[in-house]
Amino acid sequence: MEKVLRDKKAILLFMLPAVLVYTAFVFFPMCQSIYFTFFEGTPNVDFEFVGLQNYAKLFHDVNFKESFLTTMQYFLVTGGGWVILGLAVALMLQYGMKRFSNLSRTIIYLPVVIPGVAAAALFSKVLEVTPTYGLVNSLLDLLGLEQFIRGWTGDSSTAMWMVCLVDLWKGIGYYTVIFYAGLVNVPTDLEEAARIDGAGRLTVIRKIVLPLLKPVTVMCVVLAIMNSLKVYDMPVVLTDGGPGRTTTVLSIYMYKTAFTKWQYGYGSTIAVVLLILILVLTQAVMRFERKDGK
Amino acid sequence: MAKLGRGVLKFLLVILLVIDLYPIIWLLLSSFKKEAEFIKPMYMLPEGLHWQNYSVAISQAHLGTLFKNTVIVTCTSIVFVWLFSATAAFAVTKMKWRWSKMMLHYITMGMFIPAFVLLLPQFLLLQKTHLLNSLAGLIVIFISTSIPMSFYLLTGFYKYLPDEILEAAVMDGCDIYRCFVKIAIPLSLNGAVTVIMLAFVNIWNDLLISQTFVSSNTNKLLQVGLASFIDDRGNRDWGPTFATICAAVLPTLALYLVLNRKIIDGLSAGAVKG
Repeated sequence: MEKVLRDKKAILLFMLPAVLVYTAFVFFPMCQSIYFTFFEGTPNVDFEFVGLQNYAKLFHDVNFKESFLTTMQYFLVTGGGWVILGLAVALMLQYGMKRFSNLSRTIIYLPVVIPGVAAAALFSKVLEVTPTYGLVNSLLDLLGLEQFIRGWTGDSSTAMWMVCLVDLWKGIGYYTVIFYAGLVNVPTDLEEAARIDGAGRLTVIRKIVLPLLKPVTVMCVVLAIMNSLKVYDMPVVLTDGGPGRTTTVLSIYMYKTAFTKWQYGYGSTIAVVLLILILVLTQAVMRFERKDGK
Repeated sequence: MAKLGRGVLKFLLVILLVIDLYPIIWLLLSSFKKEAEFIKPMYMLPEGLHWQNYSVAISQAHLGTLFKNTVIVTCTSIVFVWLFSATAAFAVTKMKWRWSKMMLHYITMGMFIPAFVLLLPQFLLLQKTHLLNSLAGLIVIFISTSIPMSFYLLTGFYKYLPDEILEAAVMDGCDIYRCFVKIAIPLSLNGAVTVIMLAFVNIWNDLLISQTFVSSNTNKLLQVGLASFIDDRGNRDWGPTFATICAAVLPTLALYLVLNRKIIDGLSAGAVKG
């Protein structure tokens, strides 16, 4: 048995394809990206070493700061919304709708599989105001609430909120399904024991279910951090970073810097900073879980 | 009192389900409206089934080409993603060698790397190998970026494969390759379906990667084509616009409706075990 499991040739054969492809097209490019942040210009044409100049440039870049804040708004509103509302909906499913839970889960998860481009295109029509009222505005008209009619995605005060809300709509199902899976695994006898001891429904949830849900919660928070910080499809198709720069999140800023302005070095710097942000936040969350000794 | 609470919850959930479903149903209905119907309020039902929207969409958005390209890229990629991840996951979980743990972390780490960090170097790499603007280039990139997640999920599934079954097979004279093909693969079919579905959805729905590496009209993928169609004509031809969006949504939607139990169960299993 041992000999079969130690067959070096087989191990090589099994591992090589994945490792080769991954190293060449993921690991090595990532190292190159970091390497690029110390240069400026176009590679193979006029790349010159500028040391930490790109990073210094970041500190004085007003556009970077604006995009950073926009991304943070998105992270808190949409990322936070995904986790908190996702958990809330999962709890509602668990305690309110056991009988149709499969059908409900199917419908709730539906927006997740829709392509981001299609969802953004769809909602740009839902929120339309010219040349004709989109769905929301015509419903407002119907209900006699004309004062609320406006160009939801064209107005700089509401544009970013629209991006956040649409992506919230699209993503909640993903987290609800994960939380629900964790909820279903909570042993019912624990809940019943607490109930017999006289605890009310809410107390049971707070003191027993939520603590037992910690690993799943951590996983959802990590996923929400990653997914919200690298958002791209929604703001690009819904508002193209506009109006002005109000919805230009960091990924869009990086893309435009690198591929429309051809500033490869600076673009890589923005990307690497975003990567560091993601790593720092996810590590902080995971360390928080380990500290509480579960 | 408890009954009232439960009633409120049910009511809220129904509202949520309506909010989830209504935009999609509205999309479908609107794609059948004639141009003139759009002057009327948006929530009205279509007057008939104006299929012309779809034929206009097919000719003007070149849906045929877009579909063909996307199907080729997606289906080829998911096959290789599963194959490469499955063999590697098997080697890391079931076989005994010194660096298996390190390899596990090495590949899994890729899950944390966002796509845009790699865009620039990947662009240059594809340029150098003359794969830029080609379907093959896209396939290679999609395979590499989908491997970490698939690998991670499959290691989770393989860990639950009982070693005794493998031992029994070896005692019956199986070599390691037959063990893999005849035992590991059939027993982890659930995992394979989850991984393939996940990869399919991610690749079919992708915009960033397909937009960066292919700009020519002959090799464009569906979502990129949809985005430029919206840009060009979104404001004018509403009917065909909705039809194009529907076309972009329908495949993943259909696949999801058929396989939704498997997808959700797979996701749930991965979440709780992982």
